Amino acid sequence: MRKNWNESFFGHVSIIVTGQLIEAFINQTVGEGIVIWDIKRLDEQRLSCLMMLRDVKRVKPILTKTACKIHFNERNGLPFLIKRLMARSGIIIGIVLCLFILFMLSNMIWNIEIHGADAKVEQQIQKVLKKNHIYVGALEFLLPSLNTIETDLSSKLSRVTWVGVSKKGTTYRIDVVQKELPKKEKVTGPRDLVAAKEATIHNVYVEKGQSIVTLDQVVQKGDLLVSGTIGKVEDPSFVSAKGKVIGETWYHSITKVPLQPHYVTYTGATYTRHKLSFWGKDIPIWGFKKQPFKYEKHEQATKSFHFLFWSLPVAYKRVDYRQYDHTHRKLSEEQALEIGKADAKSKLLRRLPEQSLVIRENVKSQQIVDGKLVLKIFFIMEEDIAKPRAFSVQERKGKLEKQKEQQRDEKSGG
Amino acid sequence: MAKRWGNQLKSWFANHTDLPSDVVLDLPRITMIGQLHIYIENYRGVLAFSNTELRLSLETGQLLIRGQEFVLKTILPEDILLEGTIKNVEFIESG
Repeated sequence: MRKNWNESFFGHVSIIVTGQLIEAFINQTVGEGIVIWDIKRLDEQRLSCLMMLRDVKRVKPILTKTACKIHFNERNGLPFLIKRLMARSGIIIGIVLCLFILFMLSNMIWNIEIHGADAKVEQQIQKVLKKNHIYVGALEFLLPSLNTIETDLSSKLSRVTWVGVSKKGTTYRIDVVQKELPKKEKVTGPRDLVAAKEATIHNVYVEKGQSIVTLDQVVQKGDLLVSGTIGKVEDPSFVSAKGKVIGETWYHSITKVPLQPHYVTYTGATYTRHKLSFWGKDIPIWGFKKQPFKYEKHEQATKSFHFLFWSLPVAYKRVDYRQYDHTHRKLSEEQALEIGKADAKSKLLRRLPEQSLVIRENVKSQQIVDGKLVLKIFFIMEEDIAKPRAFSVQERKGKLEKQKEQQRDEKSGG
Repeated sequence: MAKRWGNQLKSWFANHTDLPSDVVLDLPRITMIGQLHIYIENYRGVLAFSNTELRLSLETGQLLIRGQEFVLKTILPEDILLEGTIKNVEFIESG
């Protein structure tokens, strides 16, 4: 059982002993307690055997005593292995460097994912992370613990209900639940609601204030609809009037519809060009066609290369060309009319407040001019015509006083 | 005379107790595994060693082992393990 691990760990040598008294050499060596093994007789005067490296010194006096000479044949085991490897230090450096790089890379943040945050919050989070030295390429063992990051994030972000930080391999994942803050209603001062445009009143819904108008009354632009003055005449109070006044309004619209409209459609054919850019100079690597399509639109995507955490002056560029085509379509007058009507309607609705309704539409005239159908359409709409108008309380009070005086004067006068 | 008496006593002791005789009598214990190995305990020294022959000194006399391709696998102060093809084991009594 001599061939165990310590043999190779401490190293052993193969020696050749030459001399007349070889048997005496064996006996004395064994008597000294020096371990030798695998002894072979080579010839009359020579003998080969193995022995531990550490015993070599102890053998020397025996050699002189027995007039034998020693010759080292082979050296085995770790000490020699190390020596041999030292001679090839390049390999060692390479191995160590490789391990070191591997170690560094595996301890590096490769990705930070932020889930559930809008752009603004995401930016905030990234700022906080950067302050904590968390960025792509940071070494993990220099970083604070996940809990610290979490508490730091949640204390610094006011618009966030909960932040969870977790780590999956080399990726940090940050889950965010954002607060949904209700929109604050602006506090408005005392105001009236006046007509934004000429209309016939259809409906009045007042939340605050006093309605002045009656149904089916025709109002002009700027007429008072809902007053912010409420209460008794002697002791009025002033509020911010609020409500909806639905009025009927009229619009004329002129719409032109080309009878031979011109469309641009993508054919679906694409062509991709790949380029490598070195120091800003592009070198095409795939896709060499000069002009892939006659009519095309193209987009370019650039991705720069990184080595560890440095960006290199080398980038990959990809240009996608998409072919498009011109098409013409012939419209009949009816078709053009339909399109024109819908067009005019949607245009009008876009201009008006939300929840406006078309009550009636009437095509007044239609003419073909220069290959275009010109439509004049009359719309009757229902829309909210109320528009707030602020007033100052003092002025309003003064006015009321004057009115009272006038009334008194009239009474006394009459 | 006294030595002979002592030897006789030892031999009687070995015969009449269960103790192994190699312990009591200081004799070599030899174990062989076929022709491949021979393991000798309680030897006193190597007298000659070559590829075909191993001569050991014992307490009394010598042991001569003949064969081919001898290798001393292990050699310790008390025991020795020889490997090779063993043909012949012979005790040589000292005159």
